[in-house]
Amino acid sequence: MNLFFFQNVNKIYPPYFKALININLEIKEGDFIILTGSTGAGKTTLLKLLYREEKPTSGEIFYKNIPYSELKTRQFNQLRQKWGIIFQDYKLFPDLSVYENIKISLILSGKKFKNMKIFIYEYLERFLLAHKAQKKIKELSGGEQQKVGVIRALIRDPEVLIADEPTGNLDPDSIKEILQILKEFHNKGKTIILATHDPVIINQKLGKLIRLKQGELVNNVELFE
Amino acid sequence: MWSYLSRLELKNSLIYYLFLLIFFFFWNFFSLFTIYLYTNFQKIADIYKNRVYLNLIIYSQKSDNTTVTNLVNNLKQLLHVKKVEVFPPEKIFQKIKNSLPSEIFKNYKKNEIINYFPYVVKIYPTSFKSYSLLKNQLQLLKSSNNKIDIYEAKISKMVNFAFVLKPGFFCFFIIWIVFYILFLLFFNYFLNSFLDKQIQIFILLGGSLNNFKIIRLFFISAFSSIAFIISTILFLYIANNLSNIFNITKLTQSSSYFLLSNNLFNILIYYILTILVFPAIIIWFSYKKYED
Repeated sequence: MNLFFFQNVNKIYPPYFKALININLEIKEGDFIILTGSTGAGKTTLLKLLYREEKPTSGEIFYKNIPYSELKTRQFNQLRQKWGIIFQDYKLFPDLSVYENIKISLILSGKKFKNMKIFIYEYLERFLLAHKAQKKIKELSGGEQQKVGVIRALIRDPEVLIADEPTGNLDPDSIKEILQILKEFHNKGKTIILATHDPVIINQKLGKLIRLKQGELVNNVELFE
Repeated sequence: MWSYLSRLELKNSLIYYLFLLIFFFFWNFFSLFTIYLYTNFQKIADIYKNRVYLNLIIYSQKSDNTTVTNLVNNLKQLLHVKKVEVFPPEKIFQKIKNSLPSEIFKNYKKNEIINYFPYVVKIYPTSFKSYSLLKNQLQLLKSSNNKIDIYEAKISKMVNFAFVLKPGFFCFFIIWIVFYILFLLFFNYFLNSFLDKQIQIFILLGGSLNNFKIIRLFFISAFSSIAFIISTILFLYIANNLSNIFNITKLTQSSSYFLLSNNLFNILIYYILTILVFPAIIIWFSYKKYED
């Protein structure tokens, strides 16, 4: 069964910038999708449509064969609680600390933990951020903020991971760490949709490569299954 | 989570909540004061409404007594007249002679002075509602007789004004409440756009808008309640002093204790409406744009 299905999806930003043109795309459960394309190709827009930050101008997106247009706000909230989203612009709460940003994400996921604090610190250790747990987000560098954004999404152990340029500002060691976690995720049968133009990730041949060019799907090449 | 949400809500917008506090302080104070003035005015008017009258001043020579008698008889026949009292010039003179300058008595005799005084006819209407109708009838009479003048007593003017004020006051109060609702709308929309980024993040993480609505209602109610308590105490203090100064406590029992004890239910309704119900509806309305 398709997890996500894009049917003739178009997205036009006013007044007439065509960000996505007639997108037809199937994403199955357990897929590892790598969306690639140059800057402005429509990768971020496609992901925004997926997690419903934006709505399509025309066409329909389906989640498990249910059209998005039929899903209510409450149902979307429940879906987002099961998803992990890594945003290109991080979308962190600047006035909360690193620890609090991650904790709020865990609370919203609805999962119960015996010792949430230890669990969060374990993740922070893994990304060498434990010593900055109590620092406010606005006191961190761009790369560190990106790491927090990545941890916040991964720590939920989501059913679907949607990642928009997760390695853009990271050092090679952190990229390796993220790739390792992504592989573990995929091996557990989870769905990953990742937008990147980072050749390091693309060359890993982790999954289906989908290329976007000026808002249109160019090809659908299977690199690795 | 609630503590985090509270911090997110309050951290950058504390200054705007303080603005709300100041706004509500003045709004509440002015509302209470207006209600206080209005109710007292109406109470005094109620007390005096059966004592309203119109004075008809008739400038007539003493010898012309029959004209006055005829006129009074005619007045008694009028539809809205309950009672007519005639005060001849001698009586008027007796009443005010002590206030006249002594030089007058040196130059004129008593009878000469009295000749300058008019007849005063005190006309009581059948009811307060017929006061204006009676006044119109007398105006007609005045237009046909140049020796007649109409004088409205101050208390009659006040009672009449209180009667006219009633619908005006309700219109004003509705506008005043609309003004408060519009302020709340502006305040909420402004805060939403100011905190838009974090509301969006919260939603994208799977958070429910209801959490933000509850937090917003909590803070609006908390800040408004503080303003309500301070301005109500200040109002009661001033109202009490005013009542003592103008000695209206005896007439209307409008001491602070009386105001509080006899209006507890009304105050509770006022509090629930302005601090809980209106903000809750407007908060719910202002978050509509975040719902699909």
